[in-house]
Amino acid sequence: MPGPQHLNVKLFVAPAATIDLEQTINVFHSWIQERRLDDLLIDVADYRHVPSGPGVILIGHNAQYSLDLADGEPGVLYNRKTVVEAPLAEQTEQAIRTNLTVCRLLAGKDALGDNFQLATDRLQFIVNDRLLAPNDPATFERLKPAFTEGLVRAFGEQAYEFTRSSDPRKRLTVTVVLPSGFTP
Amino acid sequence: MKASNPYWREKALEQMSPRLTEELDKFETEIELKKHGKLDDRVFAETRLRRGAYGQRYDNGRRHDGLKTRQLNYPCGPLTKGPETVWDAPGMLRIKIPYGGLDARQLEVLGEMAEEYSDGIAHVTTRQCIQLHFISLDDTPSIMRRLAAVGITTQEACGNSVRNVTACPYSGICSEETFDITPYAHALAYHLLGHPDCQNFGRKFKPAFSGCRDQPCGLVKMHDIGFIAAVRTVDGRPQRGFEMYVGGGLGAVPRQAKLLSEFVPAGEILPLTQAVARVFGRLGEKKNRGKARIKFLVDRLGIEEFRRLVKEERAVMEPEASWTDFLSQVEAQSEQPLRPGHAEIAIADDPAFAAWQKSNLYQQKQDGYVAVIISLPLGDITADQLRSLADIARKYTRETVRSTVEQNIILRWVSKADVAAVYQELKAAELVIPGAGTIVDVTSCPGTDTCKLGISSSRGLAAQLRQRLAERSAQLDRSIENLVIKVSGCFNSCGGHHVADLGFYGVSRTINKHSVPHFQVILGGQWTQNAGAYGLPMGAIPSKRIPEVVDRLTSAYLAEQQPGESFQDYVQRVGKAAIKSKIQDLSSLPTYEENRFYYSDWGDPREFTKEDIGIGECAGEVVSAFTFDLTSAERMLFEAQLKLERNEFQPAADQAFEAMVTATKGLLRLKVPNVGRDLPALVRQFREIYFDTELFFDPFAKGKFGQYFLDAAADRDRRDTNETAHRQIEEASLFVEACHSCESRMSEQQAEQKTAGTSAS
Ligand code: SF4
Repeated sequence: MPGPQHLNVKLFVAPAATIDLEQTINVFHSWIQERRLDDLLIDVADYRHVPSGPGVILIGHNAQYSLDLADGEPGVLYNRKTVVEAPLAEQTEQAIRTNLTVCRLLAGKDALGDNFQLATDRLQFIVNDRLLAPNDPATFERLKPAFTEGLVRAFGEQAYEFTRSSDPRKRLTVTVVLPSGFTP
Repeated sequence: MKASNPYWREKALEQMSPRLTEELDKFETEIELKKHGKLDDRVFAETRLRRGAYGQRYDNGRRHDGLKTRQLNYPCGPLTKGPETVWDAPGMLRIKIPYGGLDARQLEVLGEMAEEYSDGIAHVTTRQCIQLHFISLDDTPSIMRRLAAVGITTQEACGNSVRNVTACPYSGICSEETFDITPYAHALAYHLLGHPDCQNFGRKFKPAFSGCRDQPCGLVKMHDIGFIAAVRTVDGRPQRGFEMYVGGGLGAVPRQAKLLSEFVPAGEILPLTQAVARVFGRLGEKKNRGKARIKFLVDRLGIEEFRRLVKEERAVMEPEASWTDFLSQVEAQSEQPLRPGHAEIAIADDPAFAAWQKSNLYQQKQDGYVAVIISLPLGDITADQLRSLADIARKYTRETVRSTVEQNIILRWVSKADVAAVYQELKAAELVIPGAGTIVDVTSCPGTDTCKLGISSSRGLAAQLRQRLAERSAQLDRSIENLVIKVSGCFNSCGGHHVADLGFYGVSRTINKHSVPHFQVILGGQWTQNAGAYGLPMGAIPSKRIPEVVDRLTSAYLAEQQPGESFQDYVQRVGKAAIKSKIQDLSSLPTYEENRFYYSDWGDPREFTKEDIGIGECAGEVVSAFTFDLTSAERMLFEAQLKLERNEFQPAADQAFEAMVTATKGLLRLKVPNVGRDLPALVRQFREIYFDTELFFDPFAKGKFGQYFLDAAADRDRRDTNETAHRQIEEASLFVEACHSCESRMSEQQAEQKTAGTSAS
């Protein structure tokens, strides 16, 4: 079986930030008009009514980009849809960098502006394929070096700390603490 | 597309029924054939629709972004999955949940599908199905396999087929019911699934069951075919059966179903429904899809003639074991609690719990138990919530869960002793939204969010109304609280606006040279008595002013109602003109330059346009049964070739012969109303109708290709080698081609006769 090919990354919003989801809808629509991302942008899905749900999603062909509310922790989620045929370390770096691009755009004056701030000490990986990467300790140990390599490429050497979500029914979900943080 | 897709086949195989395995292998082959340009667009569209893979807004590759309509340049290029439907464009998958019945593992797998392939949301529809949106067609076989492994199918969830069998979610626990209709709904759903008599409809066919006549839950009278539980006494003993209705429906032209039979014994409902299906398949409209639902056939023939034809059809049907096999299992299927019942629910000093308890608990007829209604905003639930719900269902019940037509989920058989604990666990999963079944619990179709036919944003409006009403819910008078609001994005009425007190459906109006989203206001529909009456249109009001419509009408009702008067009676008494006068001023708007707010829709800042409306797939593609059979025959030939390549000689030859049989059935359907499955009968009919009459004969090859079929049918005990299997495939290919030619010659002759007839007259 091949290795995982759909890696999601969630960058958390700083606790002090105030996110206006209605404004986010407007921003995402304007990105479609202006073709602001390097992806075919298709539509915006509005799930503001779902508690701890997917929030507001910009639907792209290669990925969905959202202001996600899952677990009661708002964040910007990069949810890969099409296959990335690259080693996992490269996928990790690519997913982080793409998500950072989205976050920079969201922080722009023509978007959410200063109200949007990231928590720079944590992020989350979700491997979106239960068959190729089940949520078990062995898979976690197998993939950890690639995650680390991807993180190092994106943010440099740090003593990254990984915690795996323990519910085996969930997708392999790994929260990473960055002791030195990152610059958005 | 997921890299794991091919591996799911092996993984799911052992848990899947052989029939579904074969069915999904076929679908995958058809996907391959389509990608290689070997399947017609219309045929492929109908074939995927019959597997639940539906189109979604913008899948024609165009979208108005608020400034102009732009092309969405998907990487697939010109590859399509139906007429005007781009392959790569995200689509919707509809998952059938007969009578809404779900267990814990099914909830978990639905969650897995939502997060791995969709946008993280499983959506409960107004017909108890689950829908996943933004799905890649390439992923659908894997999703279908993973669902099939836990006993869920998407087969015939869309297209011109028998749709999900709906039923009261309280069946078995309701004190009003005549008896529990669940086993009967279950039997009908699986008997008709893929049944040969249900493959030749011009439109969809929706069944519904209700345990009683007066309550709303089953909505029998708005369905193509409906069953209301009844008991009669025969020789001093009670006999179970059903009042059977036919020809109801909503849509642009709503109809109340008509009584087909006052009492059909339980053992007779499957064959009688099959007889109805055969009459509908044979006489229903096929070309004009606007007239193709069974309600139009019943209108055209009249219920007496329709009844006579059904009776006649029933008399000639060959018996099938499944008609009555299920009856011996009816008792065994009744649900049981997991935990002992309890007399009282513990009183908690918590206003939120009290509010929830007031609206979200349903007293079961079984002492000591309640059903918990989990109110889902707009029918949406996350994967995490589905997992939590599965845990709760396992811990407190025997996994007795149902989805509802109000887009909620019900957890049945909760002991009153456990209510407080269940509340706390649901609360942790953010699943304790109060107001289930009240005016706050607005239901809606997908509308412009994802539906190709949507005109206005039904979900946007529903979310807005929910929020506003929820804020005021504590102050709402009881008579207002009990009103029902339903919203549809267009006249097709998937939101069920006809049977609501306050119904709305999306329309558009041009004001000051700008398109403005509106909703037509429909008042006084009846949710009770199985959707016993449909509402009346009061005029179109701009979308952004609909909340004011709700405020004014509910206030007027509160102020003017007579003691005990229902909203429906109030509307009747006061009259359309007086009601209209209360809201008419809301239809005028400031100019576009003065206030653009009204010129876009709820939750969508783009300037409103109708340009995104596409060609709906609700109607399916009208593909003749002949075309379907011949397409299947060609797929079988392709599979036979693959088997030959793998040196599987006997299976390859058998498959090639099956292709001949399937093509023969298609040809026979052009002449015989009901084509059976018995091989000797098929051969005899082919010989009599096509061969001996030389109708099948090719001008050059004469009867040669037909003889291939007759010879192959006479030699079924043969052991095939590489050479004979090879020859069988070649002969089968020629025979299938000859069937195509024969049909073309017959169509040409018919056209010529028609032209001659027209010129003569
Ligand atoms: S009512 Fe109209 S907009 Fe709503 S789902 Fe049906 S066809 Fe689509």
